[in-house]
Amino acid sequence: MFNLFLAVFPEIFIINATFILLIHGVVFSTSKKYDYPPLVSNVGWLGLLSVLITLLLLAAGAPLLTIAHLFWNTLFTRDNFTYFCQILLLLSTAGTISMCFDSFEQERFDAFESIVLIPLPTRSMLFMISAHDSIAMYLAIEPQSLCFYVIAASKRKSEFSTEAGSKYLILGAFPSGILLFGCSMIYGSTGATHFDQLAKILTGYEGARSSGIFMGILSIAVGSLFKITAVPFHMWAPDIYEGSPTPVTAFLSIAPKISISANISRVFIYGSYGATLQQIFFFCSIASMILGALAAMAQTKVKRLLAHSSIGHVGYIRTGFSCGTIEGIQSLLIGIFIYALMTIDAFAIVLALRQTRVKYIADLGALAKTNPISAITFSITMFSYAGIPPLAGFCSKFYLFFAALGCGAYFLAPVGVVTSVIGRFYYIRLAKRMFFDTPRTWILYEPMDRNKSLLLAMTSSFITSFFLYPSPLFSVTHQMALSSYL
Amino acid sequence: MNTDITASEKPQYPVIDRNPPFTAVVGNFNTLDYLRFSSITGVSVVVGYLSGIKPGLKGPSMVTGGLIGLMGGFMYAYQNSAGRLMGFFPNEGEVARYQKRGFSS
Repeated sequence: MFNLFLAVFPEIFIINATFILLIHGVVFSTSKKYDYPPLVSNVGWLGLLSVLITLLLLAAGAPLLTIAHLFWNTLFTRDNFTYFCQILLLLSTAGTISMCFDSFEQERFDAFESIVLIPLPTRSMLFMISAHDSIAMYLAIEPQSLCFYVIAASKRKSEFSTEAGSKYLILGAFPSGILLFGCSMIYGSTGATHFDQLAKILTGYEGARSSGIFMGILSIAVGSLFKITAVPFHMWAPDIYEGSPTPVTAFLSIAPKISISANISRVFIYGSYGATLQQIFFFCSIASMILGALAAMAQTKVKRLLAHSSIGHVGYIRTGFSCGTIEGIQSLLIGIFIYALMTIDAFAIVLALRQTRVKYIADLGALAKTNPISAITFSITMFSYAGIPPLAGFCSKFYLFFAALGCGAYFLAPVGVVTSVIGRFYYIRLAKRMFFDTPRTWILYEPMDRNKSLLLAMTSSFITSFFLYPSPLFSVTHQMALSSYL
Repeated sequence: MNTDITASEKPQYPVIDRNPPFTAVVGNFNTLDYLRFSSITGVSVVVGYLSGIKPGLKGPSMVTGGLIGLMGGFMYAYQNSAGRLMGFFPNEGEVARYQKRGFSS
């Protein structure tokens, strides 16, 4: 009986480690004997250790994770697609936690719970990636969302953070309800919740004969698109991303995109592929790309600009998903991987700059004179976001548009190219501010801490050198995409 | 509820025991498994100690790190040992021991 749980060892470990950290934090942060110590960095390092051990259990125990697939197959599936997405999620989580230590201490933000609330939704996201049933999907989405609502409001003394958490709670509960409504409509119409059964019933279904099935699929699509900040369900994202603490914003920008993209790939490509749904996703991709490009131009704050940039990137990544082909899934995986690394890079720099009170784009003036390495790294990241060759962002967008052309989406690819060009305006504007403008306020030069430096070194190296040898990522993602179809 | 242990991936190595009990798996820990267990525990204790210096919590942090490492290290060693018995990981040692046991009985 014990061996049945070999398949979920990573999840069991991370949840137990999180509880141990929570107990440790509660006991010692309120300890008079130890003089009520701040525990953010302590819990942070132990949290990072937990995530890395989870990654080890996942990577080293891959064949065992398919054990008792009949026991778990009613709820979860494990294949190469799942492994890739779960490993990427854990690496992103590790990167986010490593960003937190010094920035929380600098801001005198003594809430170890913020660190504990990062591995906790990670466990839910691991389940969500492998979910193969509507009930499992919803049971994984809800704990993830609840943790996000709390973590967005973790800075109790900041009204922006409290507002962000309240908004996220109210606006997030609504699409969760819509998603559950969709699952129940589909169950009511078909009697099936398992994606294998839904695939047999719904693939190629054009949606006109049963309004229940059509409403169900549409509701699940709306719920999922909201969670991923796709247009027209994106309005919550800039306010919440801006109000949340910056490491939390980084986590919210990266981790749910990975887990929900993987999950809706299973639901909509494997479970219910059809032309009607494809058109809905094409529309959302195009709208996200256009709005992400245009709305970001008016932004004056760095975090809001990155939030709108994230909305635009969701549009590009949705392009690969909307195609519904193996090349589309492969481009989705490449896009998510490169997006995760670029976003970790960008937010690490934003965090480092916030220590010098940089909040507005205008505050970036003359950064090149005070901190040239940061300025160069930030510029490289922005150029990669803009899709300028030969950086990794260009390779990601190239492959996404290539997949779109391959599936016959001849309108989507040119829209993507045009919006990329428009988007370059605000990315290059940041570089112009850093290198050519005078600062608006006094700037203090503070050296970056070691954790962020290491993180930036790794991600920047990847962004700049990816074009030299992209074939390992391409071949791995091709295998992962094939496995999601088999 | 189907509690069959069958995996969707076929074992690539000889299967010693398709569904080994807990005691058999723990009893099958070899030197490398104990090394994995102790390494992960040791690293976790060190991380706990070092991260506890700043807030002045060296001892308790070491214990917390040790607990996390103990759990993770045990799970990692268990995973490897069970995988060898089930035929998912290379298991020449187990096959030789099984053949020897089979020959002697």
